[in-house]
Amino acid sequence: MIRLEHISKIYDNDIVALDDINLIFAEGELVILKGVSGSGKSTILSLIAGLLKPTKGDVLVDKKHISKLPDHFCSQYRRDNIGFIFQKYNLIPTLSVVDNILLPLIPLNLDEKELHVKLESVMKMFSIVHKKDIIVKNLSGGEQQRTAIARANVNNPKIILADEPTANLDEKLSLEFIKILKELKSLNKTIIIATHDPLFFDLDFVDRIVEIHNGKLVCS
Amino acid sequence: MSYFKIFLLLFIFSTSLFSYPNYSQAVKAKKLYPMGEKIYKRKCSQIEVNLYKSYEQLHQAILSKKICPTLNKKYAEALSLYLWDVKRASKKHKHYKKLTVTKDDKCPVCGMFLYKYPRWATRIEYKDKNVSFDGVKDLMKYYFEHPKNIKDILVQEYYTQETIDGTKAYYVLGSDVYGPMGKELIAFKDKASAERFYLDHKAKKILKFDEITPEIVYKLDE
Amino acid sequence: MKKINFYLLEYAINYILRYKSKNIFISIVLTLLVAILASFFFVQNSLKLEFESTLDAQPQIIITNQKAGRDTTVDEKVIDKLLNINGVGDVVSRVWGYYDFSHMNAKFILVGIDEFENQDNATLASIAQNVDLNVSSMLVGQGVKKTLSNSYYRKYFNFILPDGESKKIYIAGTFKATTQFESNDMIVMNKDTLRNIFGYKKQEATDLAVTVNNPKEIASVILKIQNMYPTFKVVARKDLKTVLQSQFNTKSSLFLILFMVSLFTFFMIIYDKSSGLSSEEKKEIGILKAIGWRVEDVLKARFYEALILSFFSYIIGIIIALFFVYILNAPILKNIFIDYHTIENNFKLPFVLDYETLLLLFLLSVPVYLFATIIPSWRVATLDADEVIR
Repeated sequence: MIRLEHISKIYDNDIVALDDINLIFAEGELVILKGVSGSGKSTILSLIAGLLKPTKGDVLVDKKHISKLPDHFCSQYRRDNIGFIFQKYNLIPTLSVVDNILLPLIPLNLDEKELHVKLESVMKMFSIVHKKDIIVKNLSGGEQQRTAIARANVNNPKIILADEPTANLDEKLSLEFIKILKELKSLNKTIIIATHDPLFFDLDFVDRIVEIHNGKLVCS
Repeated sequence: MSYFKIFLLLFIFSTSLFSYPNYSQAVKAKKLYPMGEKIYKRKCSQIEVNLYKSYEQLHQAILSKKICPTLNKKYAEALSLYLWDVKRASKKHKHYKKLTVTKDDKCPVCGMFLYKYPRWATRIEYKDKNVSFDGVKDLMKYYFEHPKNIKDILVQEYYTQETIDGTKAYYVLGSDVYGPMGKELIAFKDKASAERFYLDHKAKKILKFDEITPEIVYKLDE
Repeated sequence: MKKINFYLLEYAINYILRYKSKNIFISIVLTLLVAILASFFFVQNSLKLEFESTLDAQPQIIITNQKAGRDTTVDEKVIDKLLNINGVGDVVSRVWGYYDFSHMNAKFILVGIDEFENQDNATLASIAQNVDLNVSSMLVGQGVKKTLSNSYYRKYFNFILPDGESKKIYIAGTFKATTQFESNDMIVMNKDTLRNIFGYKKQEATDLAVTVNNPKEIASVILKIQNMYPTFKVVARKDLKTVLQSQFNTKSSLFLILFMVSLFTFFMIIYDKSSGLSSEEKKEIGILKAIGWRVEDVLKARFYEALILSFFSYIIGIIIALFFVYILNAPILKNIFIDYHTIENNFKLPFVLDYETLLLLFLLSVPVYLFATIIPSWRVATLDADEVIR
């Protein structure tokens, strides 16, 4: 369970991204964070992932104070619990698909067999097996996205975060993403998606929509 | 001057040409004998020294070039001296082979490996075995406990490093020369060299083999 | 100790191959560094060996007569008196000197031997034993033969005596010496013939070589000789060794100081280069942090990368040095050490390779490189991942 308690985030240039936010996410929930660019929804994702520290307030994940973790443990928490799908994918373009997906697992120093199983299953799930040795920069947009999603899932995280996942996709690929989303939901993970794409506002498998405007929650 | 005197002078002069030369023992042993030996082995090994009745006869024969290819005066003299003094008398002096130690040899008294100090090695040859030591002191300690069935006692002479009969040697103690086990009895083949060493190295005493007692040996360790 | 993370290793190798240009530059710098330092050590070791073998061929005590404080010749008649000293094994008169072959740009050492005297020097001993040198022939070192042949002296040479007369000596053959120096510089002939060439009288000698049977007696013998003949210069071989070694050490210390300064400069260059990570590299680290890599994981990858690169540079550097020193014969570098009589000789450095030198080279290169690359990496690895992603 994720709790944001009295979270405020002010950036260095005095921009107030979030102002006294209180949010709770239950386990297994699929929540859409609705809001325009700059509304602060990406900041919430970063806070949950531990990529940012709040200026005020606390972030608790399963009763652990994420916001207070030092860098070492924060990275470890992120590795074991979070699968982040970035807006710009943030894949390493000069590496192949499988090498990109493998990255989160490297520090774990797993048995070769175990590693292989994880890779194969996640590549199959997101239909990217046939392109596994292709260098990422030579992939199409949709293939890159599926690689990013596969990477986010390879370590079987409890929490999946996606930042504007369909911003750079056409309608066909956007619908493909929604299909994948449905599959992810069936895995009983906590999924939080920050987006302003209306395609997400009408889905039957979404549990909740939270609206954010100018760093504050909008009650609806 | 009368003819007789001239003749006498000539006679003396001619015989002195071939007569036994007047070198010190050291010069002969260190320079002339080794040189003569080399010449003999390399060029004149056919000479049979026992055929000649006197040094003069041998020397003249060599100089006359009849029995050996041309040798200059210096070489001829060395060869004659070697043949007459060493080769002829070779049965009289017993020569011991140089004492050698292997990598595993250990002194039974102190347990030290002997290969580290090869110049100090000594040995007692018993009828059934040989025992080696790292100096005269340890040899004597062992000797007092095992004096029976001895064939030879061998020590290395200090100045020449030759292996000599320990029972006939002279020993100097209390000098400023220390062995691997500290204060030592240093061996010499004759009294003169022992005395020379005694003066040079501020020693305390010169002893013959039979004069060495256990008290003296153990006193060295104090 | 957990097993080596091969995936991390693979990532590191891949990383090196992906960011080639920067890494190649750093590699080259380090390789050059290792090559220069290794060449220096190799030359030093070879020369040390050469000098020590030459020195070991010297007698235990050398006696030189002096007149007015300068070296002069000695009369052989003192030998008998010296032989009477207890502890002296042998005293051999030596006749040797230099002869200028200036039209060939060379200066050779002429050594006279007596075939029946004891010889300390291994080369001379084998010559004395196996060769019959008659009074008008000589044996030359293999290097000497080359030089003479180049000037068309193939069968003999005419030496000019001090009185102007010439003496023809036939080249009876060559000898194989135990040291390079002997092979390139030495000519051996009959002692009396050489006396003739130098204009020595019948019992005149250049100096005396004294052997002492028991090394513990050397100091005592030297004292006795000095007392007998106060004008003689009596030198023990091990004192010569100390003098040579100290000369050697001052020269090499100087070079090392200069080198340490350059090492420091290189360190700064590498450090600077490593700090300048391209935006691509920075982004990659940011991504890794974002997907859960800890700082220690990033540093471990850097460490593997640095280790691979530096080890590779180390090996290549050593190979280059070996080639430079033992195949090209270390031009220029050699001359830091050798400046005794500048002879046009093709001095070939003997091959010496020992573990201590290799280890020292390793410790001087790899850790330096590791520090120069890991410290900047640490600074970058602790960057806020968030900045990179936006």
